[in-house]
Amino acid sequence: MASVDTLEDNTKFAQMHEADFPILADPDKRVATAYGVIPAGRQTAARWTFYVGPDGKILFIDKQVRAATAGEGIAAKLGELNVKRR
Amino acid sequence: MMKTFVMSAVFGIATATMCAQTPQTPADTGLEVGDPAPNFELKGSDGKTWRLSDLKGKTVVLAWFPKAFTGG
Repeated sequence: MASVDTLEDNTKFAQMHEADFPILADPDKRVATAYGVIPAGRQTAARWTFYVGPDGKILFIDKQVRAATAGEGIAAKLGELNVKRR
Repeated sequence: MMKTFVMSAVFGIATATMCAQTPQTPADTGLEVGDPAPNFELKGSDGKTWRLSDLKGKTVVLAWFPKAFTGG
């Protein structure tokens, strides 16, 4: 996951939820801007999920992410994209 | 029980309405399926620095979210 929060905030957030994946911090918004996820007039990223293939190319962009079921949504999408489970 | 269900339904509708009123319309960079994903070098909550270019050969899920401590 990624947001424009500080690394400190995201680290606390990850610890609070015992996240088993890294939460990346992009406080200067450079990467968020490159991905086009900051809506005009806003300071935070939209809830968009990018799936990037082994070749570095975008496989899918989910712009309809529901926070409550995001985990299941990612698992389902990876299945659709034929990504093997570890 | 019934009251709980109704409350849940009302909350669900309220949430849906709020989403409808605040559409997420990020500045479109024109990134599309098939385009190379922009490289990044960002620090993660695990203390590591993550570069997309280091993850070639793997499928990467980059899930952007608005703000920490706000429900994910």
